[in-house]
Amino acid sequence: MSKKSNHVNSNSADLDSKTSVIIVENLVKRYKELIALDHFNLDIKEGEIFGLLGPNGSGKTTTINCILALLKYDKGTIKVLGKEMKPDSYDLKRNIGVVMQNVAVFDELTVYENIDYFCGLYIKDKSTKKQYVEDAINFVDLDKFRKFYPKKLSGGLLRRLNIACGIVHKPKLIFMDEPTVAVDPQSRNNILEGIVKLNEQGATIVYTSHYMEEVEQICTRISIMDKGKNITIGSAPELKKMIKNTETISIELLDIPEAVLEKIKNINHIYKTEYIDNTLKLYFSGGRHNLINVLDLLKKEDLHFGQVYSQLPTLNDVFLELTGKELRD
Amino acid sequence: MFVHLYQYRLKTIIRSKEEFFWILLFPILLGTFFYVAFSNISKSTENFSTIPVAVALDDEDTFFQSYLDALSGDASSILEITYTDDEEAEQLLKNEKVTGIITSQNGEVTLTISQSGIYQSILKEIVDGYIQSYDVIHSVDLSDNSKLELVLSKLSSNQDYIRNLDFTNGNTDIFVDYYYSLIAMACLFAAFSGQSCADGILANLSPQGMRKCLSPVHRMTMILADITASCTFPIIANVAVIIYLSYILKVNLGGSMPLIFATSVLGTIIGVTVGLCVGSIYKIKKEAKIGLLSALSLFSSFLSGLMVGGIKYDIEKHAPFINKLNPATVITDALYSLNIYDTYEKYITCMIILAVMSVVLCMISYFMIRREYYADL
Repeated sequence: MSKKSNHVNSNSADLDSKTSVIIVENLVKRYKELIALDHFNLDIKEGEIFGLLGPNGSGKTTTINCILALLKYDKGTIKVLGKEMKPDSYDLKRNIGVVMQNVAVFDELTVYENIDYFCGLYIKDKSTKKQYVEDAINFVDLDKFRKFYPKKLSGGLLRRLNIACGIVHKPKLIFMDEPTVAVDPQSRNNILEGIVKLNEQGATIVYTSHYMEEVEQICTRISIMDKGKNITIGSAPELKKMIKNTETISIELLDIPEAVLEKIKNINHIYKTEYIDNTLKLYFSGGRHNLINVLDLLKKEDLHFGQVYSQLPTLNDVFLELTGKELRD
Repeated sequence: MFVHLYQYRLKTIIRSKEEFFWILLFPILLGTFFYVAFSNISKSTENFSTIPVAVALDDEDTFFQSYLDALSGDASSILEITYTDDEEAEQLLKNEKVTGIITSQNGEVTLTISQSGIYQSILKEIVDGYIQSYDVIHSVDLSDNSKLELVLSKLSSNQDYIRNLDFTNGNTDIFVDYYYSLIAMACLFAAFSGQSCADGILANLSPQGMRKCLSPVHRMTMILADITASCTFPIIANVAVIIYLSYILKVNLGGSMPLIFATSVLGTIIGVTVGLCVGSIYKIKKEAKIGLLSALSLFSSFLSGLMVGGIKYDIEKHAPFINKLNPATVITDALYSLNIYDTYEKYITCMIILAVMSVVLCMISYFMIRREYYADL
């Protein structure tokens, strides 16, 4: 995990000097009365793993479909790899890989045939194609399953096949739309590691998810979306700095006298307290050794307490503070 | 690129259990069912041709005996006669060895039966026919030449009425129409292949279609390759069905085999394009589309006579335009005309109608699947 964190930090450094791979300006997309994208802007740089984070219906998939020239949009401009993206931009499409939310493979073809089929749409030379297919099979570790039909694969293996079909032609730019939906934790970790590996091999990745942990884990920068708008963009640490909360301490207490509660409220950097269901929650903004300070006070007041947790802010907290609602609502 | 797309599309169709069943196996199974069912009917028809009957005549009625002898005694005879006396005849009827007893005493012919049925009705017709002819002959003065001519013309017109006229060299078996409707149905079942083709081409219908749309393959190349492959398997399957009917079940379809194949090729193209049109409708679910196509194919085949023989002739009387617009009827008409007529006039007309239908449906389906941008996904 530490390796991944280093990867994220090293990539978030010198962004300005890098070339823009995707530029979206003032994108508006309406579905009749519903505004799916509302003057949406985006600038994704080469070599990034860029996360689009937002609840279901926030416009993540619509954004990707507009960028890929699948969906008509009402207003705005989109440039991919420096050119305007159109349905017949075949040269651009050659450099783009897409891993869709829904598994897009043929049930009637084996694992090998599926990968070979999609590779063949991009690569004409037979020997190169063969090599690329082998590389993709090894990349997603499906060598043992090459003759299996998709229906015989587990959910995790199927997702890996879906990824292999999307990246087999070694694209420069890869879109991954919720590739880990309905995947077990072990397979999810394998997939995430694979995404980082692809990025290390030089691919720029646009990653959408409503799983904030995943996005936080692998993305160099994140756009938080809600109701078709880009609420904010930044690396995970940058986003967390945008909010007041820096730490939340939860303490199990059977009861708490009013006087003690007042003293706790006076601890430095506490800006909010809650006592609900025998749990005292203390919200801090800044400060160091906050947990020690709280425990010292409880000991001094001779209060018996149960479990104690200290939580650093998550992207959900960022989302909550910026939109007033939970990310998973 | 075309070959790559074509090969894989063909593989997916051949390996698709649903398409394989409906396009190839179901017509073969239905054809086999028809064969078994019609064979049984033919067998019962063969038994129907000879009716066992007991005849008790007085010695003097040689005229009636000659009449009965004319109806029995050779391969095409209707009656299987046992000449006997009254008592034994009654015993034979009681034991159901004969269908009826015909007696003639003093010129009076009577029929005795113990139950009603088709055999008994035929016996009654035979006896009534004899009595009427007998009355005609005996009621006129045969010495008058003009009346004799009238009687002879009357009797000879009866003879004309029952004469077997061969107006064609083809197979006049009424059951062959069912096989034509079966071939038409098999052609229209190619719609399933067209539906799955649309599903795989359009980004708003399937994730596979979306992935293909995002590839750098020219849209026209993709559409042509997929449609060609979608036609290939049903065409081969229909040729296999026709070969199975003709050479394994030995059904005489009549007409020239290459022209029957040509008819099925055009019919299959119509089937595929109907499938493409229905398949590319965005707002209907895949399962509903398959149900709709099944209903369309079967209803069209029903109107051509798949389930009720002769229905298309009734439609021709009351609403002929339906027959002209119904592809299954046009296909069966084409096959029928190949079988029955010595000229190709009617066949060519049917083929022109099928070709026009193909072109129109191809154009409609092209406009429905050529789109590149989508309003919704």
